Amino acid sequence: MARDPKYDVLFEPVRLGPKTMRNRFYQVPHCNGVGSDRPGSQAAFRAMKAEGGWAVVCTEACFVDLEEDTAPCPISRLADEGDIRNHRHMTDGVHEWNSLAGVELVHLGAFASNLESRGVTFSSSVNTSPWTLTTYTREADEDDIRGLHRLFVEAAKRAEQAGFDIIYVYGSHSVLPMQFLSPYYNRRTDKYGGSFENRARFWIEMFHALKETIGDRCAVASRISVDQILGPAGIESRGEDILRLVELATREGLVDVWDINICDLSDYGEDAGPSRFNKSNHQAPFTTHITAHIKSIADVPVINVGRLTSPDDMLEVVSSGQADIIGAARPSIADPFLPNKIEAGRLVDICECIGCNVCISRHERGVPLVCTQNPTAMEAYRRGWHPERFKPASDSSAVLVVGAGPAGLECARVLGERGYDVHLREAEPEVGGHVREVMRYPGLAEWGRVISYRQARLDMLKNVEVHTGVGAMTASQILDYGAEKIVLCTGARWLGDGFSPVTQVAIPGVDAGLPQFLTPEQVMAGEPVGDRVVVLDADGYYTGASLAEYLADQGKTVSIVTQLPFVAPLTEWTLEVNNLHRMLHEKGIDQYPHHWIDRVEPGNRLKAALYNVHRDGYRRTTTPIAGELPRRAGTEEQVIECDSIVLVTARHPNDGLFTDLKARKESWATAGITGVYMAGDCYAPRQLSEAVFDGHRMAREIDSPHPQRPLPFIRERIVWDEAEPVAAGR
Amino acid sequence: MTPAALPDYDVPDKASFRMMVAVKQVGRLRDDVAIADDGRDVDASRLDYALNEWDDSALEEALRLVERLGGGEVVAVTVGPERADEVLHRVLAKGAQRAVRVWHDDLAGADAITIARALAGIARHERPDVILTGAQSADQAQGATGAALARMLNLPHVGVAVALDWDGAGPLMVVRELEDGGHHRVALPTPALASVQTGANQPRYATMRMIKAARAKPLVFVEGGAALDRGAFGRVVRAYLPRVDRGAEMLAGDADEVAARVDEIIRETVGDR
Amino acid sequence: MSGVLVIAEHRRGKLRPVTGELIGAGVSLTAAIGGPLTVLVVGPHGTDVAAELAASVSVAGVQRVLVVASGPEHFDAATCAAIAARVASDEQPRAILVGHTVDGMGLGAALAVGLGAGLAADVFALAVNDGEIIATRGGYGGKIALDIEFPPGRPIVLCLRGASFRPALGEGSAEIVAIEASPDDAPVSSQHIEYRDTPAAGFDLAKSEFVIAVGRGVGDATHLARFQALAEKLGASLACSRPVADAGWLPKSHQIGQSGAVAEACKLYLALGISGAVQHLAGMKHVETVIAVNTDGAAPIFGYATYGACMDLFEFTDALENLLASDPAAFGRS
Repeated sequence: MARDPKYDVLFEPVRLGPKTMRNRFYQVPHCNGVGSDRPGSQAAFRAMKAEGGWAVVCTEACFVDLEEDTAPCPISRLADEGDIRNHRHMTDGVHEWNSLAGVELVHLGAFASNLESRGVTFSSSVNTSPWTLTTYTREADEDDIRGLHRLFVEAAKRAEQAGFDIIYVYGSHSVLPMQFLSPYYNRRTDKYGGSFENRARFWIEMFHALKETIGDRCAVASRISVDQILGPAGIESRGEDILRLVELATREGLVDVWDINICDLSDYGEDAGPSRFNKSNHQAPFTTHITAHIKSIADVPVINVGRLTSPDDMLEVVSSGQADIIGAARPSIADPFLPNKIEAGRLVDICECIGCNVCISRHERGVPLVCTQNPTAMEAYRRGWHPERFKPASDSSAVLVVGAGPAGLECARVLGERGYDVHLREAEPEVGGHVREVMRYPGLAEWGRVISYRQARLDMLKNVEVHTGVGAMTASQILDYGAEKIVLCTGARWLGDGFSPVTQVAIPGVDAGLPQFLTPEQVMAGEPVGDRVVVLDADGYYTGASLAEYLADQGKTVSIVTQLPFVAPLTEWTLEVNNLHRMLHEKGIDQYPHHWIDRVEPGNRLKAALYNVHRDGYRRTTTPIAGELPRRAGTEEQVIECDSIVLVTARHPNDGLFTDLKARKESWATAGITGVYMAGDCYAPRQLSEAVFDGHRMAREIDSPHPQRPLPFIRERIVWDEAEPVAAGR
Repeated sequence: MTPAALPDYDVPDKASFRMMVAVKQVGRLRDDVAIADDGRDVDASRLDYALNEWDDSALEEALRLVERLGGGEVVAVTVGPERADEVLHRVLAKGAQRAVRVWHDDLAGADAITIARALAGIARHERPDVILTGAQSADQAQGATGAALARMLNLPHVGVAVALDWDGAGPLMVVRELEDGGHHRVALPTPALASVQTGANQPRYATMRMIKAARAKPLVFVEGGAALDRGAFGRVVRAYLPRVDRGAEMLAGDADEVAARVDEIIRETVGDR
Repeated sequence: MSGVLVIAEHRRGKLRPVTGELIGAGVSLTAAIGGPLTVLVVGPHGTDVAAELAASVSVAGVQRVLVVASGPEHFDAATCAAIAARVASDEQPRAILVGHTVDGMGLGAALAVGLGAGLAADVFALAVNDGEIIATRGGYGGKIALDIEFPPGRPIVLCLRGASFRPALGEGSAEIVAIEASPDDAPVSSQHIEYRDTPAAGFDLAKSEFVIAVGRGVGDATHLARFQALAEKLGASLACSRPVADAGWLPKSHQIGQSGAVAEACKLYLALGISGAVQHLAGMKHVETVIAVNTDGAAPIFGYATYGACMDLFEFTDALENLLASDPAAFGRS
């Protein structure tokens, strides 16, 4: 198939100073949880995007100062020859596909945690950040500023040696240049503080330094957050400062490409907006007029981001003049082959980002990113997985996949791509499993793409049949089915007795069989919920808060009880936490953090005995006594009344079918069955991204000797060698 | 318009009831549509083939009738080239006992009445008690084959059937669906023909075991239909992509902007309510 | 052979709207090929129904109305086809027009076989080239158009798609001729048992000015309540495409399309997750303002809609609900 001519404009080359990108698809700088210290994983991940058609592929943050780090989040460095070699592996990989490589050179300033370097970083003033708290910066004096510029220039030279085509003077997310420009951080009274010219000086000096060093050979890019989303306390897109900055730099020809976004690093969820709160192209109201302002001065290309996944949206962005270049991070993770698919007219094959931010949640915690939609993300190197290539089936087994939730859909898809004959059987009339419920939580409609993408792919695979509405299969039916391999993907359920990791026991009085107690499944199935609802949330991720919002929107009076220090702490990693809590506050949802329920007195009006999980004595008993808590046992409790309690306390695998089949293992051989496996939550409940991953892995490895156990993967690490000790980092 | 004269083939004696189901392998277009070189059809290489959805419902009705009667045979018949065997394998896997395929290259592109003549030729050999067809085919959607077949065989006929029942002795009870959603119950003396509408039932799936077992069931190829004039009743003179006005003004912006625009449109068109 | 014979369609004593459209098509066709335009009304044996209906089909352009009162009590394809074949053999029209309807589908093909006539069904356009009739119908779910030509020397039976031809209007002065019954008029046929009407839906889709229709894209039954609520809030009637009714998510009376209701009085049609299959279009493409929401930019419905949004219908619904929540007067609701 061929490219629809209406998308031709997206494949026009764009000149970036001395370089030219071959189309308008640009992977903007983003972290991936490995950085330059794991060059194998880094290069494979980034090169995949170049192969998939992204004309520019950038690194993550590359700190120019060894005294700075943002541990535990891994980043890149360009301090010595070793770093150059590591980066060159990536740039070579990107260049192989005729794409350009960009490096995000950055001074972090106030946001550096320095947990590993133990160093001190500089900022415009003495600053710390909500992320780093106890670690303060030193106010850079003029010597320090010259030193910072020098570090930058040296890093830029090494970047050129490493093969980079585009070098950033990074200023977005309130990193150091913004810490000078913005009065939110800059309280200086010397020539680097006060007036606009003074506050802009540091940034403009960095531009000059970079231009002089590599300006005629590499493209100088700058990423700027045109609005810190702090209101008048910070830089505003409709304010004077940012317009004057871009004007100054553009007029002096200091920048070859502007990469524009919004946010302050303290809440970069305003940039990497989760789909719950920010829809595609959400930054346009802040950035469009900036583009117009730049264009009124010079024809310097402008990049915009905004979780753009639809080719038609991208077309609109370019045609309307909002931006020249489609910038993307998450959409390129979900589908590295997005540009190629538009080129080939395979629009329906595009795997769209759902905006869950699970990718970010991983690298924020110091590990390689993952992607709910693309299980091969970050697995190219360590497992050899390619999103578009699948090893053909090594035998002619027919595979029965039981359950078409996220794991089953993905398993059937990959088995189908490998050429296996597959029957995917779903008890319900519609495929999707628990995602069908999750996508109906407020704001999470895009999560439904997990289902729709796979449904569309399965529809194209001739060797996969999807049977819906067949009811729950029994072990006898499975034994009789005629398949050689069975993969059970029967999912998990929320427990209805209040069992949780808080106490590892059920809560007396709690019973989802009674109408006053509901599991999330029951709520979404439309069972009646009373006016006053308590959501009991031991999960800490999105389910409790989402159901609370869902019920509040229906006019209920809702409270959330959680043993955790605040509601949904796991959403801190997905950058949802701030707006989630603003939502809880705005919708009047009461919260009882640090609390759990000891027991519930049944009745039409429920009486729940709440207690503070820290009510026990803080001094441990010096001599333990059997049968007693080794500290004073607290007894204070508070009874709250409500009509319904929603139980988000713990999940449990639906593995009964596996147990039944295993009990009849001696019948497998006569039935022609060579293996029965489980994938997804029915093996062990976990996050959605892991259920999809598990289905994928099972399909890739179903012909390995023991498919239930993952095959070994490459652990990219340093192994000591007596003959050649590892070179020192400095 | 007589049934085609087709060569004899091995038709088993009727042990009990016999249902004949006419099935069709239909082509489904993907997104890339191209016209064939002769300009009279689509480029067949762009087609995915499958069992016609309406015929799937007709087959399911036949299987259920036989199950409720406690015995009987379902024989599936198709007019199609060799690739149509795939559809016959599928209906055998679902539970039909026998399948018959009629073909001659002269039948390529034949109209509905010519196809009906070939089916009628088989019906003459099979002498079924009930013939079921799908109400229409997904690719040509004329809804004519069943009615034409009934007329050729002088059988009573009901179209757009959504429910059937037969006790084996009395008339075939059929409910047909009317445009406003109402139903019309009629009784047909057998032998009779009914064209079945989708939604009449939920067609069963064939398990892998049923698919494997079906390989042993009889699938007979009858070469016939050479003398039939495939264009006697109408011939495609030109196939083309319909002029798509693309009249839809696509609403731009994010969801909130689209919703706001829809708000305007609603006020403009139906005003305050 | 000359002229056109139209076979009127009626049910339970009332003429069906497609009849007017057949006559309208017949007026245009006879203008092009010449000859008389005749309408045949077959009414139940021994009743006045046919005679009563004759007056309604006597519109401008019709020369003669033939009335036969020898048909079955209720529609039976075989019997009607036999009678029509007899009349057509006498009249020798070049073309016979029948509706592509539940009744017409049984009648048209049987009639063609009986007469040895050409046949094309679900025809939505007619043309005359050098005196030859060309019928256009669709293929592959409406993705392709097919022009059909017919062999000379035979009459042609054409089953015309509903809501595709402009109905004939205006008072006429046709000659009304009663035709005698014949013993051959009653071949083996079906026996009417009863009609079962759908229970009253509490609303009449055919009368609604604002219709919101949901298609397959709506996912499953549990979502319907939300769209029901939305329709109520917006003052619209909730309708659906065929797959939704087949799955039982909405009663059949909510179905719009060829085998469902036609949104006759509709001024604004909001189609959510509906691809625009030909069968559905038949029920709504005449509506003045159609807004279609579908993730598939190539969905046929965008070729007929006035406005389109290529997006997920749940995201769209989220946004509508947000707008309603923030502004109760949105969408003109007071």
